[in-house]
Amino acid sequence: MILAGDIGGTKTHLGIFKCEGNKVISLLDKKYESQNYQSFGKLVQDFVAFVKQSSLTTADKYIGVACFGMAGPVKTETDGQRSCQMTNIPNWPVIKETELSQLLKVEPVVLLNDLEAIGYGISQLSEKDLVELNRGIPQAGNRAVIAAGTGLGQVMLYWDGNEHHPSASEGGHANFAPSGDDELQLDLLRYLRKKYQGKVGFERVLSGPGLENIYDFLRDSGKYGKESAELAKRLDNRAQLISEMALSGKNALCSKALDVFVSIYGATAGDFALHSFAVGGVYIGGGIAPKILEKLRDGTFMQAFKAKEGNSAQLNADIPVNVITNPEVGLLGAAWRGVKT
Amino acid sequence: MILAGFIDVENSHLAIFKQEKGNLPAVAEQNLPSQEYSSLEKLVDDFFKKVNFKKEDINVACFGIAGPVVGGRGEMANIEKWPTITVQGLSDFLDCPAVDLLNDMVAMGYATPILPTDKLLDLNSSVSSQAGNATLIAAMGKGLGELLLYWDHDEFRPSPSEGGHTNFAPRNELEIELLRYLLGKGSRKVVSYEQLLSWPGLVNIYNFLKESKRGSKESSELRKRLMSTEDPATVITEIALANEDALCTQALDLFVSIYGAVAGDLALHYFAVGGVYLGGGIALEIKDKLSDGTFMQAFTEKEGKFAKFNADNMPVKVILEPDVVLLGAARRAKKMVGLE
Repeated sequence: MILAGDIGGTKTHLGIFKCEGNKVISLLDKKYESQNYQSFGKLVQDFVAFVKQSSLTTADKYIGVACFGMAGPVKTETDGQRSCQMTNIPNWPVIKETELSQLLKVEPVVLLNDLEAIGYGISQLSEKDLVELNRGIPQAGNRAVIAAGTGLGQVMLYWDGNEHHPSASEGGHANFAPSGDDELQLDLLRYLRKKYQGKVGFERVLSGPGLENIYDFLRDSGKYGKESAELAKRLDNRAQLISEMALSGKNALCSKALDVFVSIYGATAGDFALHSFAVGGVYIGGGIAPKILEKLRDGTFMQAFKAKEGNSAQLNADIPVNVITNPEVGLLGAAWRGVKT
Repeated sequence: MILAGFIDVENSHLAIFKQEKGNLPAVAEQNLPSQEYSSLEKLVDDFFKKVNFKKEDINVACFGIAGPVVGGRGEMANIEKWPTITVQGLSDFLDCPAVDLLNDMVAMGYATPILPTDKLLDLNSSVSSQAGNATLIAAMGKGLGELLLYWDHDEFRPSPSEGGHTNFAPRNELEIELLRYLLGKGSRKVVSYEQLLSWPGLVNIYNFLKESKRGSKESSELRKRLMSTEDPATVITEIALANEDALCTQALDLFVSIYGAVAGDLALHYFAVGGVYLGGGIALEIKDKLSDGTFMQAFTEKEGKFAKFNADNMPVKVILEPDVVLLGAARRAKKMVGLE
């Protein structure tokens, strides 16, 4: 069996999977609060104990391989072993494949970046896990995933003529490119340059904190209406409230913020599609997209996605674009990567 | 024998290599003016006559062309009178089953990883390449080509990119004004990197600095020279490299800085710890300027820890081999017959 995990800064989801044909099937799973543990080793040992006490058969309890998608950069050491320092849990020691292997008595143990795990998970999705933004013309070829959540993740899937291979990207930290029919995004860039010492990557606008940045810019400009009393009082998780108020149509400022966010999301996804030559499809992952589905489907996103020069406009218009609505895509991907060792 | 070619808009470079392993020099080669032929087949036919070879001598052939290639069919970007080039058509013409057709960037990608160190100029010499993807970014005559070299844990696999058409990301007030200037010209709704990082792009940058008065004043002597040339970009470059005029120097500086910024972004997009290679005619021509620090400063000017990430992990090299497309086509041909 495969022990797989989606290891996040807040939540960790672990599961035992078996493989049938080209699909992985969950036998048992459990969610944990990551920060309740001193180390990832302790957390995963808890789960292993939970599996031992479960009603799974002895055969199903046997773990032949473990694979984890980590919310943090995964480095390859000179000896080929991979290690990871979790981005938002600084008190966890560095997680190493070899150490996990000794601890769990499982060989091999594979660490993946969480976006790579989503990349592997695409093949495990069915129609019910996706919402279509653009039908396009499906072709065999590279794919691309872009995922705004706490941060902005990207991964491309290289097509070798036979199967897709996820390839890590840090493109979320590339320089923000303003677009659109007016100069609003140019002013947004100017505003954020002041806040971030002159350097503004895409993540500063395309993430939960990014939506808050867009909102703050619009509010401070004074041109798009008043801040609601509820939002003025709110100190944390403002992004959630901004998107809720935008979708309910209750506050013009929030609606405008979400509109700008979705337009930038489309333009950036379109650029990543061009970088990746993703004629095989673009997938929108991350925590934000499923919450703003109706806004993503109102045309703003695809208009920006296709607003490219010359032939590239048509190239992008032909790319199928889908939102991933299954939050377990990363876990499924880690399990599938485990199968492929 | 192996037939390889770089089919460009003005000049095509064809060569015949022995069917042997390793980097052997061509046994015959010739430059031919592409526009004087009505098709690639006619051009190849004339090449055979000029170098005294016959079709029958060829066992495998590969061409890198300046234009898109999809499903074995290629279109030359700027030679409209040529019919569509097809692998099948070339195969029939040469009476040879082993024929391939590549976009020139893809062809470049086949040769880049095996270039000897004396054909590369290292811009980030404290960093050595790690196992992982590499990328090519080539400012060429009319366009900006990009390519991913996907590392499959055994070898690099060229994967095409249209990243030259992505949106320009200005980094400061001057570049925001540059973007506004280009949006104001004509009916453009978007400004891509290609409109800045190409020969016409350099002229765009020059005109912006001149017209916005952000740069120095254009001297009357320079104005005359630019009016009387068909190739203002080359004039601007030559004068800038000789440090003879402040405005030309400013234009090339800004060009190189934007080149560095987009190369740094590409390195992040592709996680190109295997190497970032600068190809194409423009890089070759301005190689001294590329190594003066302007390029690398922009390359590493990223948010947060990614400044250091790019500085510490990304090898950056200028390709000094002018025949890299031809050599890549030849290497692809060798792979097709199991010689690589």
